Parts: sequence; structure tokens; C-alpha cells
Amino acid sequence: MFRSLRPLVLLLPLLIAGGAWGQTFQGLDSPQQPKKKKAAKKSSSTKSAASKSSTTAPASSTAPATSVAPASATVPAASAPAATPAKAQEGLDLSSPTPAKAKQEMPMPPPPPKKGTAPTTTFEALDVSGRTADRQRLEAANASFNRGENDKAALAAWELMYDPKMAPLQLESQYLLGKTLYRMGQYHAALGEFSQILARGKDTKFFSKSLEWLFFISHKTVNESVILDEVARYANADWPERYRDEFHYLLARYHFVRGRALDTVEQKAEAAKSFEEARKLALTIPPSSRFYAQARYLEGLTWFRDGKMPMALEAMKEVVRVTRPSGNRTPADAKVADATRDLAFMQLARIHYGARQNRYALYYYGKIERGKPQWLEALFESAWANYRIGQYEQALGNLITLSSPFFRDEYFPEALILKAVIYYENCRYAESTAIIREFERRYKPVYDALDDLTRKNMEAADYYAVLADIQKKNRAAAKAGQSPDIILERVLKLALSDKDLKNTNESIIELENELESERSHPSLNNTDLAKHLQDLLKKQRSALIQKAGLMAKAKLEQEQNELRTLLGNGERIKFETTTKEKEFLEEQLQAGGRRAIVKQYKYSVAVNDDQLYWPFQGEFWRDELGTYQYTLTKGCIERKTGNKAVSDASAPAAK
Amino acid sequence: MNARLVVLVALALAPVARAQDLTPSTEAGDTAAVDRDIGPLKDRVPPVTGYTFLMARRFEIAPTFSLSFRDAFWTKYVVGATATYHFTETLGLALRGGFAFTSVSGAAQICPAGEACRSPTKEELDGKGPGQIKLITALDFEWAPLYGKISLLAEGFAHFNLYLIAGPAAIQYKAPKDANVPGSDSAWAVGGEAGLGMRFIFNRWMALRFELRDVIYREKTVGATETTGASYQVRNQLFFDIGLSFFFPNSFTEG
Repeated sequence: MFRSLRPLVLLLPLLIAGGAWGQTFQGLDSPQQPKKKKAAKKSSSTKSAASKSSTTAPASSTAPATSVAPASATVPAASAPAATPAKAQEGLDLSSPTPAKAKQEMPMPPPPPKKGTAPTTTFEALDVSGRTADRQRLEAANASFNRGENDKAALAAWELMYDPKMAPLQLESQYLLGKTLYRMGQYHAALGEFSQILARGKDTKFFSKSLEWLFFISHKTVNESVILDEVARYANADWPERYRDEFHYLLARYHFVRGRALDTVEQKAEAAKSFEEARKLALTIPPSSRFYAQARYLEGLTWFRDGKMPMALEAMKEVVRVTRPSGNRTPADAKVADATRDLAFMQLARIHYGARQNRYALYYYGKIERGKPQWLEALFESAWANYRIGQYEQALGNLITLSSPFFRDEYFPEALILKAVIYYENCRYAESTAIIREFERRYKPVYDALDDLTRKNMEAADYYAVLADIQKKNRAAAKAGQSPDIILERVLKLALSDKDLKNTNESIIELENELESERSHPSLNNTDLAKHLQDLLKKQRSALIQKAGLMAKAKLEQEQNELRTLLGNGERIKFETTTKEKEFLEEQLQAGGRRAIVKQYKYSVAVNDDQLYWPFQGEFWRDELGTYQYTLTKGCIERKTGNKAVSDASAPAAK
Repeated sequence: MNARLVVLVALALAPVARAQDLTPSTEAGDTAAVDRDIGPLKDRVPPVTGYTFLMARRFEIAPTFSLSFRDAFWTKYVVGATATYHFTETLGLALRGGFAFTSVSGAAQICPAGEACRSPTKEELDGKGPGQIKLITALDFEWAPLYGKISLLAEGFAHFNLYLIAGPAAIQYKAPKDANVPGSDSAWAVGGEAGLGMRFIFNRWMALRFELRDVIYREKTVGATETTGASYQVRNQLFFDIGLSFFFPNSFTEG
């Protein structure tokens, strides 16, 4: 079925978590009945604060798990472990995470060249009894750090690091440099320094503290996955007690992402091990932990991937239970809980949809409030569920929201196919054909552009370069007040619909901003430290670009395949439509031109007392989005069985 | 001396030494997760998209008909037109002009000595009753902060916008002649006007507009003499306007 369903099921963001009081569950293992969806109304929006009456959908006991297509792991290396150089060339490190080496000698770097560099700050040694001059220099640098003179502290630390006389204090100096860079907002550069300290081994003096800094960095960067590689590398380290749960959660995420990547390359056995590992780690997190909900969600995803739906359901329900809104949470925690709760609702809906329990699926989709991050996807996916139970008016109404100008650029190509199928089902062949034409007009050029890109067989990094180029062009066009190239824009949006690629792209942009921001530290200009930081960041950027390139390539290829399938489905609908039209024309001829294809629906614009009726006149009001119901007005006089075949074929996720 | 310096330096460095023992969590400061998204979707969605009607960078031409009210002496029926250019969706500049036909107000009474009070004739009132406006022109700045739709008994639905206007006005009126001289002369007065209006939108290029305006100007009144100079009073003239607006170009694109 939906293009987005498959990737999303497992590709869901693994973060975050809020909810309703007294949560009830519907569906596979619940005796409770879902609430009835309200009857179809005129092509209108109904603003409602209303609850809906209940219905009598069967509450079957267990989910036929096999019917659910687990999300294919489309994101190859989102957070794959940092590879060895050779593996980095391949882009994916699908080997087991290597434990940290017991001790790794770090070669002393050569002293920085003196020529052509700006004078650096030095500290006069003080003659203090009991302290060496070297120690005094380090303490002076620390004093600068404590005073908030970050530039000065960074330069001093850098100088100490590369002073051969200061070899015994080199590690401490590097630690100070890492901290200072963090305070300067150079998080990626700081990560580089702490990584080097960690690489020296567990017995290193600052090993444990550097591990803690990793967490702080992950909280500041746009994408916490930048530290996943490091987390995985030191999986056997003795993590500080207070970060243990976070560490286990991050490590579980690491294994989960790795499992998905392995699934993508068809290494199912290895992938299963990774998912198992992710599950084990998730289960080590106690309910009292703030990472518990996210861990259970992750666990649920692994069960889903393995096709064990009852287990997946239980995990998701537990997420919903523990993320009930509570005043005891900090705003940040409440936000995470709220997001995780929505993700769990989406997953519950998808599991029921996969089990063909469409009304339960709708119940859970309905739990996503308007305006939440998952809302659009919930609308789109619930359109399919509505279609399946014959609620065409609601299905088309949901698609109206998706076609609002604000969301028009969101990538839901399948929405047009669904629309065409519904019109076809209702014998409105002319409209169905027109919609398919619109689909082809809009997406055939995108398919061609994807075809061009994937045929070039470029290096992975070049794929990302193409996307980066599109982004730059679009930004330049926006600055110049011009419209961006629509096709390229669609290709970009499509690529960035992969959440891991989007995150990596954001990390690259963040890195580039960090590179740029060094200019805001004039005292560092032209220093060896600046050069070192530039080199460090460029190296990190190259690694991220390589990773992003692989993801982009896989994503573009996958989307090309899916578009090909959708275009094929479109052709099939066109063919079926033409056949049906011909049949009806023949019947009309035989009946002397009196036979009608369609019949008038009876409809009413009456709404409940707590709702208001507004006709849709082409304008989208924010508070109406998601409440539209379409007036189909006409349906088939005779429903042919042939119609069903087309609709089923167009809904691959319903398999 | 040296010993004292050493002690002082040692004391000064003591906090530094302690500072090095701080935990990373202390040194890292606020480590709360940054807001990684650009705000809730519901706040990013504009209140209205896919407008059925927009005014920015469009001309509006509206033939109008105005009726004065709360008139003590003269009721005015003004036939005119308004031309507006809308710079943005909310700001515009309008030039309006209208020719007024006057009739004696129902409120006007004349009570000749020994006779019952009655409504005066036009000739009797000419030059004596203030507010005998002939022409009105104005340059109005328009601010339209509200755009909405209303449901009339859940049967009729209309889009509207609400706007405020204010600007200078020039009024030609019939002023009294010098004292004891019957009849009137045309005179011009400079004033200003302010008002509130609503447009009810029919389609992408036509709307029905209603306005309430207060035209404020200084008018020469009876009792003015050549020797003592004119006597003036400030008048507030209220108008209710109705107009049919046509917008050019007759289509628009949402920016």
C-alpha cells in the first residue's frame, strides 16, 4: 500500500514521547469497541470538538502478523558504525561493532610550523613553589577557560598540546581544548577532540569524562546520531552510572539502525542479530528511566520487524501508558514523551491496518492531533483505511487536506493514485482518467530525473553533491525571489523524506556552519589551531557526505522503483477505466442510449450539534484542515467485480 | 616581599585548581536538548491558504452610493466612485469623489411667528441650514486587518474583510452669504474623514462594500459678516456607503 508506510514503519524516528488520560486501546487484543466514524457529509469541513459515536467493528483477538509488511530498511547507513578506512570506502560498516582497543597510542603530532601564522597567546610562567612552569601554563589556560575567555583558552591549550616539552600534559591540554570548543559552540570539533582522547583507551585519565562529554555534545547537535559511532565503539566501557540508561538506549538505536541497513543489503540473519541486540539493550532500561518509553518503542519496532505483532502491540501500548501527560515532566521530557506517544499510536494503527482491522486502525490514526508531526502521515494512511471500508467521502476529504497549498509540496504521490481508484470505484471514469493524467504530468518528470541520476552510476558522495547542489540552487532562487525548479525540488524533497538522510543532511549543514563560524573568532584566524579545526571538520564532513551519499543513492533508487510501480498502477487504472467506459457505452447502445453509468447519492449537510458545517470553496482554513469530507454525489449503478481488482492492486501495503 | 607574592599567587590560583575538578556536567552548562525542529506544524501552517480572494497589488474601482444620516437640515445622497490601490493585503490608498444631491431633512423644522412649526422648503433653508454639501473628495489610507467568513444561519456563507480608513478630505458646500443676505455661495472646506468598512466577496474580482464614514470639516455658518469675519463651526457628517467593487487585474496568485 502506501509508499510511505513501508519505510515509515521501521524508519520512524526513534526519539521522543505525551497522551491522553485513561488511555483505552482498541483492536487486536482488546474487547473494547472503537468509536464510530461519523457519516459522510457534503464536500465540506466540519469543525468539531465532538467525539464520535461508537461502532460495531469486530474485535478479533490476534493480529495476522504475516499480513503486515515490515518497513523495508531503506536507510542504509544512517548511523552505521564508524568504519575502518577501507570500509568507509564502502560506506557501510555492517560488521559487528568493534570494542575499543585497550590502549591506543596516540602519536605526538609534529610541532606546528611557525611561518606564516599569527602570533598566538602565551602565558608567562610564574615561579610558584611546588608547581612546575608547565603546570602553571596549563593552569593559566584553565583559568582563561573558567573566565569564559574561550579563544584564549583554546589557543593556549593547542599550544600546550603541540609543545614537545609539555608531552606529559598533552592529554590534559587536549581535554581542555575539547571543553573549550564545546563552549565555543564548535560541537563537531569538540567531538573530534574527545574522540581522539577516547581512542587512547579506557585507562586514559580523561576517558570517562570524555564519554560524558559525548552526551552533552549529542544534546547540542541537531542530530544525536553523530555520536552513535563512538557509543558503539566503546560499548564495553564503564559508562558513568547516571548516563547508563541513555547509553543503553543509544546503543540499542545503533543496533537497530544497523539492523535496518543489513536488511537493506539482504543480510537477514545478521540483521536479526542486530535487532535482537537492540531489543536486549532496550529491555535493560528500567521503567523509572526517562528513556524507558523510547526504549519500549524501539523494542516494539523490532518485534514488528520480526512479524511478532502481539509483542509489538504490547510494547506500543506500554509506550502509550507510560507517556500519558503528566505535570511531573520537564518541558523537554514532556516534548519527547508526546512525540513518542504519537509514534506509538501510528505504529498501533499500522499494525491494525496490516491485519485488515481498518476501523481500529482509524481509531489510532485519529489519536494523532491536528498539527502534530505525524499528522499528515496519519491523514494519508487513514485515507487508505477509509477507502477499504468504503468511506470514500472521508478518504477524499483527507486528500483535500494534503492538497492544501501549504502541504502541496509534501511528497505523497500515492495520494493521486488513491484518488483515482476511488473515482474509478464510483464509476466516475472521466475524473479518474484526469487524475491519472495529473499524476503522470507531475511525477513522470520526477521519475525521469531519478532515472537520469541513478543511471549515471556516480560515486556515493556525488549523489549527495547533486542534492546539495539542488539545495543551493533553491536557496539562491528563493533569495532572488524566483521559484525553485519544481522537478528538482521534488527530487530533493523525496530524498529528504528519508529521515536518516535528512538528519545527516542537517548534520552536514551544521558542520558547514561550524566551519563558517570560525570567522566569528578573529583571534583564531590564521592560527594553526584554526587550520587544525578546519581540517578536522572537513574530514568529518567528508565522512558524513560519504554516508549521506550512500543513503541518497539508496533512497533515490528505492523511490524510483516505487514511482515506477505507481506509474504502472496508473497505467493499469487507465486501462481498466477505458475498458469500463467501453462496456458502459456498449450497454448504453444496447439499451437505446438510456442506460446511466452513475447514480445520484443522497447526501445531507446536517451535522451534529457540536459541529459546524462550512462548504469548501477552495480556501483552506487552518482550523478546518483534517476535517474535510468530500461529497462524491455519484456512485456506480452496478458495481463490477473488476473494480475491486484494480483497487487491490493499487494498495500494495494492503497485501 | 617575595614570600608574600608567592602566597598571594598561590591563593589566586587555588580556585583555578579547584575548577579543574569540576564535573563535565557542571562545565557543560545547560545540556537540555536543543529544539531540533522548527516549531510545531500547527504553528507553521498559515491561518488561511489557497485564498479565494486577495487584494495585494490590485486596483479596486467601486461605484458608490452614500446616504447621510443624523442630519439636522439636509439629507445628502452622494453618487460617487472610489479608486483604491492595494499595496499589500492590508494596506491601500484610496481616492474617492462624489456628487451630493440634497433634500431637506425630516428633522428640520421651521416655526414662523404665529404659525405652526413645519418642514421648511429647500429655498427657505438654503444658506441657513448647515451641511449643504455638494461635492466630497478624499484621499484615504486603508488598513484591512481582518479577513474572515461568516455563516448565516448555516445556510448562507460569505467571505468578508473589514477595513479602517482615514485621510484628508476636501468638501464643497453651500455656505451662507453675508449676514442678512439671503441665499448661498459655494465654498470649499478642508477636513478629514475616518471610517469603517466591510467587503463581502462574491468572487475573485467582485465584492460588495459597506462603509460608515465620518467627514469632519469646518463650515461657515449663518452670522458671518464682512466686518467681523466669518463664523465657523466644525461639523461631523456621517455617511453610510454602499458600493460594488471591481478588482483589476481580475485574477491573482497567492504569493
